[in-house]
Amino acid sequence: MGPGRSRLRSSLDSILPSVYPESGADDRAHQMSLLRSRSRWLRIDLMRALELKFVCKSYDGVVAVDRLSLAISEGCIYGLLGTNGAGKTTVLRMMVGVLIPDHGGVCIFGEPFERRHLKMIGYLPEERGLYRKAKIGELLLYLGELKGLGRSTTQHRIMELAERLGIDAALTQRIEELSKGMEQKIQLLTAMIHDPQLLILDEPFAGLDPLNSALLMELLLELKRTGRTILFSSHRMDRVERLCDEICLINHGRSVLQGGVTELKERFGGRRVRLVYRGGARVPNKDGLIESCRLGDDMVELRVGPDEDAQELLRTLAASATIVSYETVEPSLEEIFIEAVGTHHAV
Amino acid sequence: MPFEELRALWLVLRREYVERVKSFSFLASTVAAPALCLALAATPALFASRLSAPRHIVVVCSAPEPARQIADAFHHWGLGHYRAEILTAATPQERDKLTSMVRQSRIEGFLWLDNAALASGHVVYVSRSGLDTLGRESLRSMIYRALIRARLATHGLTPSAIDLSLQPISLDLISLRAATVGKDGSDGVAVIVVTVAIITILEMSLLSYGIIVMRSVLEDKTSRMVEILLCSVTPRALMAGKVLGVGGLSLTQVLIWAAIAAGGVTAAGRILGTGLVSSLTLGRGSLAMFALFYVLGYLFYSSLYAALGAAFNTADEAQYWSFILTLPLLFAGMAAWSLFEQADSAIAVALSLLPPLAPVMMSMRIAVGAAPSWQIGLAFALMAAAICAAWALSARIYRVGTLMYGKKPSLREITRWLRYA
Repeated sequence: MGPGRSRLRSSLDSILPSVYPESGADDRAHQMSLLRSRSRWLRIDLMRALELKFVCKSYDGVVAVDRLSLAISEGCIYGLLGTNGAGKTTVLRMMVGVLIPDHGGVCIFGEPFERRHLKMIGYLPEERGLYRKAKIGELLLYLGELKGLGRSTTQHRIMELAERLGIDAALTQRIEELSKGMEQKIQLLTAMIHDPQLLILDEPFAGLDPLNSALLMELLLELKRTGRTILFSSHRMDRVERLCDEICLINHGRSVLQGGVTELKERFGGRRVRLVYRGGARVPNKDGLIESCRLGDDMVELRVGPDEDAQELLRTLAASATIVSYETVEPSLEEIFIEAVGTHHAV
Repeated sequence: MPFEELRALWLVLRREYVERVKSFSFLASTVAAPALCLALAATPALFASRLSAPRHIVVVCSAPEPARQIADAFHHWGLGHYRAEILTAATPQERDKLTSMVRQSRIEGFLWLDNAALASGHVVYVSRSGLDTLGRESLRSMIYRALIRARLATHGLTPSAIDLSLQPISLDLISLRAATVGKDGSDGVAVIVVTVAIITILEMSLLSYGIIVMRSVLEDKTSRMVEILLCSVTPRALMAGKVLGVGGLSLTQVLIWAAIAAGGVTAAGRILGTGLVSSLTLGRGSLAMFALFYVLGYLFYSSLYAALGAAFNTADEAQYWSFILTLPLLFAGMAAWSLFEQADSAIAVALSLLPPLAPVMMSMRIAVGAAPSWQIGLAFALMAAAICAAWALSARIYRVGTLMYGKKPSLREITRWLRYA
């Protein structure tokens, strides 16, 4: 349990006794979820696992990150999205102290970042690699000890995680003998070896086959259930959509979009409808009701203009075809991503 | 440095040392270098004494006594085994015949001493390959001694009287420098041998282990391990751990070589006499000074090599700057040779105080006993200051450079990194 959470918990106990009872750790994720929703209602800020405040970083006059602020609540999965060169890796490197921001600050569990906080953070860098000639077990032991663990604790953690990831048989092998997927698992193991409260993963799904991707997703959800906070960057919107509670989209080092995934979908997708119909040759666009549409077999997905009435559209369509189904559609994160970046470029 | 950082430094140091000391390359280089030195020293003597047959040489001399003296001297000539055949017919036909035999490699060569040569002292030696400077001087001296003996014999002196007349003198060399006191220059030769050995080991070791540090940093960078490591270790501790771990390795190797050398000298002393051992042995104080300057030199150069490894992406990219870094050491080696006889001259003193040259130059001056304590102390202080500056500079380059991938950085970019760090 993070240091701030115990403080928060005692104050919330008096307000929300039914939400946060003294129960087993397995229920923590559910409790945290309830806590998040109620804290919003009660206007109480949960303890931040990580917070960036107006962070800037430039290289040779080229701005990589520009006044970026974001806050990640404890116990959530947070997605950092952006195009190539948007500044994601620079942001993540500043979070773990590999790079120092030119301006602004990084806070970990409510305190300004210091190296001692690294014991609470597990980091998987984007540029992955390990000593090719090293034996896996020995290398993991070395990295565990560097994280401040004792030798026997490290060995115990290695065995535990290796069994969980299905790589226990490979511990006596050398890195160069492994497949790329296995290597990726070893990398992940190095990030988790010291049982960190906060996991920062740069493109964790890159290079994984569907089976291993599913295994990783399952693992991340399991970590979330045990109260860990996870931040990862990714291009894979489907993964982000399925895993993340909140996201931040950055472009050219600036935050373009931030918020909960559900909230963003509501914000971006409120006026999209999917219609299955029979008997109509084409969808009429009477009085310019439809802003744009995508056609399929007997199905059309419509975006209703901002000033138009969806009910009016339905009445118009019903007059020329038999409506089989009519539903509002949530946009995918990919669509939100494209739209947000497009708007940002236009601005 | 906080305890956590020291612990991390120790872990990096231990890994660097243990991984490398167990490697085949370390074992091979530790054994191969002394074996190579031994082979280089022993091979010519082995070829000259055992493997090659005595070479056939003809001494053509119209007077029998000088011919006998020369033939006798050839048996004891230091440049190989010769079987000398004496001919007294110094005719043009004989000369043509012998020339033809030399061309056909039937004889090694012939020495022509007709009456004119004996009178004028102008002697001719004909062979296929000729002789180098040392061989020519040695042959000239040998013939000269043989002719003197012959001339003295023709004047009626008995062999014992001739031996008495030509008895060599003994020259005691007494230098006020501590290390060069001895007889017949034998200790002087020993000092040269020891100094050459020390300078060679210093240069070889500083260069090769500096490059190992550079490659170790490059390995972290190219394998992308550095980002993982920097989440657990500060750049300062990581660099220091690498430099000290590889430094421990180099000290281990030098100590093994020293032990082999000491064993070899002791064994040689038992065979050849104790004089050799005592002349090749240096005082403990001098050995401690060599060790100290070796460590200082290593700390200075290896930190700069670590910065090189951090700044570039491959060993090829770093090659140019790596070569630049070797230049002070090469210059120091050459200067040590040139100034060996004038080790207490002003230029030698100045060069031995310059930190990049001090490890080699000061070691040479200590070996010949030309370095007073205050100069050693001053060199030590200057070296320590230079090491601090080199480490501060390298740590800054290391901090930024290890995370810079892609194109080869220019000097201007590297200078700019110093501001980021």
